[in-house]
Amino acid sequence: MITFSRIDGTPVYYWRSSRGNTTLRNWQATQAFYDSLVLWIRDLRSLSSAYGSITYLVSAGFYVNKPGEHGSGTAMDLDHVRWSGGQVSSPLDRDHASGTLATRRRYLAVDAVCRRRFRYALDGWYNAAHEDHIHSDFGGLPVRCVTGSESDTKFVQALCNNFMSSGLVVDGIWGPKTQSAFTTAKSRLGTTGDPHTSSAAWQSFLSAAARKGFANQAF
Amino acid sequence: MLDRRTFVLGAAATAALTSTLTAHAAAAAPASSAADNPRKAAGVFLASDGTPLMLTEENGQWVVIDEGGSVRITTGLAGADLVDVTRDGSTFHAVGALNGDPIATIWESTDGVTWREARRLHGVRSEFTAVGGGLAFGSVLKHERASVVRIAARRTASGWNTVPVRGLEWTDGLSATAVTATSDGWVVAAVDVAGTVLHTSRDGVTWATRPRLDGVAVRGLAFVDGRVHWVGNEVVDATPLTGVLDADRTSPAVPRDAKALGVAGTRSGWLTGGRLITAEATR
Repeated sequence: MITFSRIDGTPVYYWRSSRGNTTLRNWQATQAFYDSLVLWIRDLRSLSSAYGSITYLVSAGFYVNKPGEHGSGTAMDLDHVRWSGGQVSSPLDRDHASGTLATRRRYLAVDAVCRRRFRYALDGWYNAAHEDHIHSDFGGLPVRCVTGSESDTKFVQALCNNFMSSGLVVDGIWGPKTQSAFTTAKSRLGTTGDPHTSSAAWQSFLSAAARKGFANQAF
Repeated sequence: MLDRRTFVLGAAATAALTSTLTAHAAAAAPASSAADNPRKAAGVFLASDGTPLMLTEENGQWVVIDEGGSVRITTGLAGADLVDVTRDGSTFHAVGALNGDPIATIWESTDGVTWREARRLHGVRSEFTAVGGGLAFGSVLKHERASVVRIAARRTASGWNTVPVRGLEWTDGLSATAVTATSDGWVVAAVDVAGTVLHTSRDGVTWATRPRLDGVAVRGLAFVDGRVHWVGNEVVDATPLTGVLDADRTSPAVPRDAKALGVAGTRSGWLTGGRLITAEATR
């Protein structure tokens, strides 16, 4: 495993014991996972470039001595993103449940960028254990949209509700209403190919959704 | 996916492992050749002769390694994805899941080398993640292997039987990391995003919340001389830590990169540089 304090030059802070703390911390992860984090933050920078540069990230952990991907050094818990333009996205503050649509859309944009690189992204809609951070890990790769995945399904349902007012129940069950809304979303976002079988198609869908989210635009 | 820990197998340990394998097990798998090769370790337990042993995976085989680097290849653990191991009297217990679509499974051994499957939970994606004092803890899993609900099995004269758990519902999204028997029941630990949550039970069924340990991921618990000792690593930078519940935490005399494996007898087990080291756990 490697030790790092920044991802591709961007500092990663820890706020769980002291909010606002900007002391650099020594995080650990495998080299392969860190390499994916670099790709992820470059995606994030590119898709949110209108906000300026990313000033810092806040995480709740990478390698943690516990079962699962954290214990393998192949997971990240994302708490907060801050841009130089002053914008923030704060899973730590449960932005997925914010009363402000633009805040929810920005959260979904960050969520979408995580899903471009990590197959298992567990967010605030997934379960109570993830209501205050977005978990991303190496499990289940390659990336694609799996209708049998509660995480993927809830993400698509929340996305359609917040960008298309689809009125779906966010229950993690991929039924005909979710399928119909997803088909509409794909069309409106100009996605070609099948995101259920093609990583490229899914990543294209997620990039388009993220752009809309950072711009606070419906689709 | 549920590999408990991934560690760097250091060059020195690799050399030691290679040497020992050559000397003691001609049929052994070749030692890791890369410093960044990940290593899975289920934990540490005390052999019948009092020797601390690490149960770890090497090139797809589960082996036990002592502090001197001596390796013995186990049998009966093919297809196992082990997460924890302990000794209970004259029997050794290991828990985890069968590979693939995970099925929570418990294995037993009388020598730590020859294992047999003692119980598996059919019909549901699940895993056991902690075992101690005749109690195994685990979770039913979602597609993404996140915990849906916590489960437990108890060792009785008739074998391992699932038991209900009450009072843990608010932690159903977490997986147990350690459990130990005490003078009047059990203590179980689970790690969340900010530290360790702890529960106690007198009957193994109804659980009550104890004060949490913030900032530390507890990996092992042991009840010695009337106190519950714990070992673990800090959540952020993985600094090794030990302590006693309701008392102070301390830094053990182990390298800074050491990862807690658990407690064996009165000694804590740590993985550093790919090898097992132990330290006094109960001072």
